[in-house]
Amino acid sequence: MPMSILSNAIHALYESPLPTALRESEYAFPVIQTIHVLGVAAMAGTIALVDLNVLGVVLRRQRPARTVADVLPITWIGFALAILSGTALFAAQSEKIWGNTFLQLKFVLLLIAGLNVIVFHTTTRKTIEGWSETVAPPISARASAAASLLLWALVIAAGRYIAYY
Amino acid sequence: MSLEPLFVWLGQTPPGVFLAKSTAAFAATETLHLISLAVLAGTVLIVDLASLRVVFRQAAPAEVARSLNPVLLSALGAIVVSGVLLVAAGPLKYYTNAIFPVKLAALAAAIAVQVGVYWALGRDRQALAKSLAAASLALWFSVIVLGRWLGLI
Repeated sequence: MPMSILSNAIHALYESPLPTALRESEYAFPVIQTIHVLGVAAMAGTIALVDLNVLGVVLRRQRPARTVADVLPITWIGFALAILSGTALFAAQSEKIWGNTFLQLKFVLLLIAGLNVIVFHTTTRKTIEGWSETVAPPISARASAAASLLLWALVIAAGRYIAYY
Repeated sequence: MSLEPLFVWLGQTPPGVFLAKSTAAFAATETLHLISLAVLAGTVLIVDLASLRVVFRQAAPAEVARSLNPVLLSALGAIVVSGVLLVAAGPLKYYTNAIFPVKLAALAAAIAVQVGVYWALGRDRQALAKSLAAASLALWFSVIVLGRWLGLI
């Protein structure tokens, strides 16, 4: 039964030393939540600016290729903070929340948003260098940017709703 | 002068009454607050780090700042409106919260310093812009941390 393997794994994770210590600590949990908010803000904020740049809303004199190169280190730092803190927060509460609809929705949305990032960096970014400053990016790139804005907004929304349902 | 009547009035306004009753609408308002926070933080990071010549080094910081100004102002507007709505849903909780006035003071300082960054960039006072950008980063960081902690006490 795959389901019982998963629930056994979740149980083992929940009872393991680090998640248990985190759950029982008065300060560690809110500190990690704060790191999660900061990481998400740095990551999603810089991704949004790249998307808005590709869509021609901001930084019109700056080519998207340059914007991506410039903000990518910040995006990666934000991503590292968000994924590490998020994993810790999940592990500490795993047995209580792994059945939560919004948590599962968030995982699905993260997967789709992640695929969109991979598509952007494997296809769009290769052609991005050739985009001129006067011609708008191709429709596929703009669609990917719009999808990115929507997906990351939905990831944040799903994350917030976990606490209530 | 006590500000208590203002908080009480805020809680009695139609949006305040509605958000106090509806969990889904309250969570949606929190979501709007967090999305605006992400956009605002990303924009502030870029404007300040460009002023400090850490990112966008081939572009003029004043140009980067000017181009991002509409995004910064939109995100700030959305975060203030959603923030006031969140307070309206439970105003006395905030009125009696020791961290809340500290957060508002840090926010006011962050906005004032950010205006200063724009002012200095506009007049090509690069050294001043750098100092103010560093102060702005520290202040916005405090605002986010205080915002998370005021919900925990």
